Amino acid sequence: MPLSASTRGHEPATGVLRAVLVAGALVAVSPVLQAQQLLAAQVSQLKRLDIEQLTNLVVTSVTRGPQPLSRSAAAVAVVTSAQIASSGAMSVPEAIRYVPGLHVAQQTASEWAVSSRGFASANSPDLLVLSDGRSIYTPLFSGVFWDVQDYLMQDIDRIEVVRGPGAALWGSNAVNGVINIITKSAADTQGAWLEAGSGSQERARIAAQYGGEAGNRVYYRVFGKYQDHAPEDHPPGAGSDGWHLGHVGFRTDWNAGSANAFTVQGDTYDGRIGEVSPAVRIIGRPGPQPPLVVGVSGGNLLGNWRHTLSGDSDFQLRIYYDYTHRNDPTFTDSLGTLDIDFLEHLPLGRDQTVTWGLTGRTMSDIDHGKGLLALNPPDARYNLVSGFIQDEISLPHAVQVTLGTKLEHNDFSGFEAQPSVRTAWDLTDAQTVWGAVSRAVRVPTRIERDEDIDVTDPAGNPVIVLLGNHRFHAEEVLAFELGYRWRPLSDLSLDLAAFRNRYTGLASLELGTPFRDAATGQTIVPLLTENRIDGHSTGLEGLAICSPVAWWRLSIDYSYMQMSLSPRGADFNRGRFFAGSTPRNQLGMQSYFDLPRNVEVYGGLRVLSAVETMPEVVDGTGDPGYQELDLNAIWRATPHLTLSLEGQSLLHARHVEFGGPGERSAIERSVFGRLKWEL
Amino acid sequence: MGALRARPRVTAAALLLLAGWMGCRPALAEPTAQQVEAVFLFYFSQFVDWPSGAFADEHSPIVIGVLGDDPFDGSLDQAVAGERVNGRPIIVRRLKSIADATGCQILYISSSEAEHLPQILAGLKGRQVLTVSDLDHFVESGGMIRFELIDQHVRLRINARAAQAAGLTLSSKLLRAAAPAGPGNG
Repeated sequence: MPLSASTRGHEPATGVLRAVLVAGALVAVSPVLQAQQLLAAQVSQLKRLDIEQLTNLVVTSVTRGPQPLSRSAAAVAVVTSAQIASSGAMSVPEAIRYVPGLHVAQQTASEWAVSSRGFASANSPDLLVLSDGRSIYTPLFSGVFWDVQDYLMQDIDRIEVVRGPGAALWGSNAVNGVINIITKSAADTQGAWLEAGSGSQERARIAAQYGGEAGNRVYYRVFGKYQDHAPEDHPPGAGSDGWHLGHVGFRTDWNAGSANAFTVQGDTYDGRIGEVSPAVRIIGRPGPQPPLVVGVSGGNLLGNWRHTLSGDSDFQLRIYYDYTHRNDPTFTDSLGTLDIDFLEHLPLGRDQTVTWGLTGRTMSDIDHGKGLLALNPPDARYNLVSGFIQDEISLPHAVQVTLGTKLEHNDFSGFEAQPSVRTAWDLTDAQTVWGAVSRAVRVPTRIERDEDIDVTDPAGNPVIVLLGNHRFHAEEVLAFELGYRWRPLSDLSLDLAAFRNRYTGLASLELGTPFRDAATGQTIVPLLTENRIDGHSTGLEGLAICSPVAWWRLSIDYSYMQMSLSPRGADFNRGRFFAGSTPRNQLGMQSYFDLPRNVEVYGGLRVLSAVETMPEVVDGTGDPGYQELDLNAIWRATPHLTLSLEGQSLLHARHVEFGGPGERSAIERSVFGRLKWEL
Repeated sequence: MGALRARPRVTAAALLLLAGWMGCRPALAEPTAQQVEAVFLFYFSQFVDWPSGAFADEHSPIVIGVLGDDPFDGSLDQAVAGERVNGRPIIVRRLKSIADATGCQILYISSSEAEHLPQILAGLKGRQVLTVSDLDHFVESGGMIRFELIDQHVRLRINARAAQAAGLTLSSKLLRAAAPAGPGNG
């Protein structure tokens, strides 16, 4: 079929020329373009995309759709599938490294400390992470086992990161942020492909996927993946942190007309993960010796039904079951979670949209220590019921106010109300100012509630015991946020957010009143978790994105954070050391080049200041700051064959990101080559 | 000496930054589904082959008819303005009834016409017109291309058999971009 003169493709030289001409025209007209000219510019930009790119474009629906990102009254950032593909990110933590306000640090070959607005730790407790709506934080310590959060990165549609309390909608533990990992519909992953790669650290990585159509509008995909990662540079005498993991899964999407959409998905994994140091260590008591290998396995099954009632109203029902098992040298833990969520959007008159939802969750956790860690009782079942309601009100002068609250009942801390008020004001089409005040809580973990760990010789008298405290209640934050977004040009945007958080009742470890154990006759000196640290944090986050020409995109991110914590008690576990665990300054730069001959080149550079203190390190020392560079080159040699070569942490032979001495590895410079064959 | 030598590099970087600023295009909102659909309609004129009998002569324009309420808000006119396909200009016509559709090569049937869809499609039988719509079950009812909004993406559902029956040839590029249609539609 012959094409018109407007042949599409990469034409860097004319691209520059055209861009400069448009800019010239812009200067000539006026700062505010007429609606017609805006439309013309919009349409001509769309016409630069080919027909396949158009089908992949995210659009806003005139009738209904999620709030455009640029207008939302929260600090939101999205990592797209295109960014993930270009950067060659091999895991979710790698993919979100450059989101401002987040601190992502690799502690060992498999362990990551991911945190938002402070409280960095491998067990970072204040972040809610959802995978297609499935909560993946463990109630054991309120953190995420990142080592088992495996994805075929190509299947991720986007990762949405909301910094600050997202509690009004998402519920507990969204104290400082929510990470929402959203995978692609099976309709978007049709076809078969095979990928194989090998490198100096990522020794082997093989993945295959087949996507097909099972009937009218029923799409599915099945996939499998295996990877084997070499140990990083671990301390002498410590365990080797090499690991391998296998993972298979499926997803089915049925678009039954425009009113109903059904999704059923599931996956299962199994792996063995090496640890540098035992997960539970008690100074003065013998623990397991290297090699330290954790057997991990798990799976989940999720069903989702979305029903559109009319143009402006819809509801969604989601049910999932998730099972994880961890056989660590210091404990075994089996956790089963059954969860049901309902969410509905309802228009209320012309200017309001009410969103409400209900969640019911029951978890069964069986945890057996192997000498050191012990939970009492080892088997526990707990339930959570929560509801939320939110009203988005459109006011005159392009002001939008969102009032919302979540009311939750959990077995750990009873009823928790988490309200928020958010408002956004569109100063112009290109500028939005927003502000928010919200309250969020972090509910107690199982360890804080049920632990029963002898810190000194169990046979001695007296014996010091870490004891769970049922009177420990939720940690609280009151957050004040202010943000500004400016998009002066379509390919230049600036996003700023500032926050001030006030924390009350953060966890600290305190000496309890000694008592006599009637059964053994021993005197027990209890150490209890109590709510005896208060504090505040202040931060500023910025992201600037510019695409001067169609084939080059540059983004620069910066985060500043300062936290101060004041213990009201003895604070034996050094909870106050959290204050220095997030680098004060983080600067990142990502550059994407779309070059002729189907070549794409990516560079990511990051500079982080020191981690000053860490709660895990007894004497309160930290890790030095560092700077590192990742590069990735992709060549789509034929429509069926893609080759890529990736270099990670190229500036130094090895560097330390996070963790105490003896508990972390130095991350080695690495290269990785891969080949993807699409049938 | 070192400082002096560094200066030209700084200037070069500053120039590059300036070029970057200048190169950015005007402020645009996220595209709407309707704008994307308008550009699709323009693309269809490139990716569909009409038999020669579909045009009065070799200079006649390609006519895109919009039957019923126009949802495009000017974007369709923008999309085709000044464009030529195989030497033919492209024009947009708003139509009140199917009787006005004579002479159209592409007919977009607006959602306002949902009730009359069976009659409209029946009236086009044997005519060399590419039919396009957002309506549910459009493809199943014998229409050729449906725009379907799925997860914030505009997807194409194509009934290649219906197009073939009307004597139209769809390019493989267009067929590849479409979500696979159900059995009987391929």
